[in-house]
Amino acid sequence: MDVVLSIRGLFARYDRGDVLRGVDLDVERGGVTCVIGPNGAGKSTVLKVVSGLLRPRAGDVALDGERISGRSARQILDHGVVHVPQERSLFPSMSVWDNVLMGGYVLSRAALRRRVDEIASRFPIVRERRRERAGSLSGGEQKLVEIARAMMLEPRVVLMDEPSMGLDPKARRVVFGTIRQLNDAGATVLLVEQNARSGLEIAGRGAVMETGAVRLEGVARDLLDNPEVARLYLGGAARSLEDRG
Amino acid sequence: MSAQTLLEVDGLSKRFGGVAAVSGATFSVDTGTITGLIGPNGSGKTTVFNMITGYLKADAGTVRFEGERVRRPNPRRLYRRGLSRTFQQARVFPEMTLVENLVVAVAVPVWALGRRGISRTDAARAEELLDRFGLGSHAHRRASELSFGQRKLLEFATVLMGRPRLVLLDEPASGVNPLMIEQMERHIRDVHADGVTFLVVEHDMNLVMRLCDPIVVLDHGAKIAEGHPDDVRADPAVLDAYLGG
Repeated sequence: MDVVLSIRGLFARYDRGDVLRGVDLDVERGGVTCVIGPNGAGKSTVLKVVSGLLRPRAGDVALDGERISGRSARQILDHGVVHVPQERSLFPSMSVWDNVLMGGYVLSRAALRRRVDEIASRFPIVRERRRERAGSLSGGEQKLVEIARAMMLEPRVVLMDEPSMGLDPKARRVVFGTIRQLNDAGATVLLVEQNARSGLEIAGRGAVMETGAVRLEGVARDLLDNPEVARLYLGGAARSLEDRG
Repeated sequence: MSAQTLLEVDGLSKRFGGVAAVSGATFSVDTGTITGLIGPNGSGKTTVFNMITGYLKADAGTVRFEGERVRRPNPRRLYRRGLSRTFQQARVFPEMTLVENLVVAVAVPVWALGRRGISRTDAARAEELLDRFGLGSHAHRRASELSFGQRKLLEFATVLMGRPRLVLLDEPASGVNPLMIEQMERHIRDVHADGVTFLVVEHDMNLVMRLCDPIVVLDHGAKIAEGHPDDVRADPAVLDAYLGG
């Protein structure tokens, strides 16, 4: 496997107790890696550490062999790691277009102009709704604009935290379809998703986290059939659903 | 089973705008049980709690406590009737001492405290409860000095001041370190042994499966399964709900 992002022995905490307790995870170049797991497993925290929003207490994150953990969020952004957070993050009173431009605020003027045109050609919503206030878009549409904005920097790795959160099934399909298209175009995505089925469907590799560590890792489409997943989600002794016939 | 129904929830429904958060939730809590209420994120557990305890007005459905219909639920009245609850983020009065936190919970009316002061019986009961929860040495310190986990214990003790027959615990283990989770579990079992019935919302599945019987599973605001932990865990519909569609 061609690994672009490698996480080793990651420990992190907020103000009380370790949320991450030794996370090991590899992200394949050009692939979608999907992390699933029950509430409170630490999935979002992994993304926050990778993008530098939270400093790890121990452990390493390396991008193409270069250590990025411990650097500032801005430095990590400059390395090409972009984070699309779980909560809505557009500036609601700014236009869709301006929001997308904000995604390239570190670029030169010329690069910004070129890049925003590229993004507009790839994301119809940016073209069609460019003048509208971002806050007037539906939740699913806003998520698409957030993804478009994240692509402004031609990131080496896109971190996506529960893009389907709060979306109805139709909007969810559109968002996951967009992620799949991005991936087809070569983007590397580390996706955290509560909706395990939808997430693993578009992923090549998957990992299951529970209580702060990766407990299971493998080919995404094989994971859902693994009886161990049931145990990690529902607790207690391993109980295969297949045992019941 | 000759169990007696303590709490009866029938057809409880709540919409927020176009979203049906709870739709026709129906279940009961038998006297002497520790009943678990689980379900994936957004399945309506806390909304159900909020409607039972009068923090939210239900659109439809009824709640009966000890056979009597709760017509206009009001947290304070329910507390006096013997039904009380905790919150995910423990709600305590940070500027008051621990003893004061407990005493105001039972003071009727609250303003009389200022004139009459703390009665000796209330103070004695408060100190006894604090001792029981391992908070005795902090009895006269301010609640703001407590750790997050200790605040949860304090809130639990506060709830017990009213000598409830039914306690609703909203995620007693969330944000609490593993050692404190064990402590919390021990306290719940202790209080249960004294004859208090519990309805518990919790995401820590290992804890739920150890502690609760029966378990009620919600998905999209309606009950999808109910029964012994082993049965619930082996129910394909439950795993399906957790993995998303």
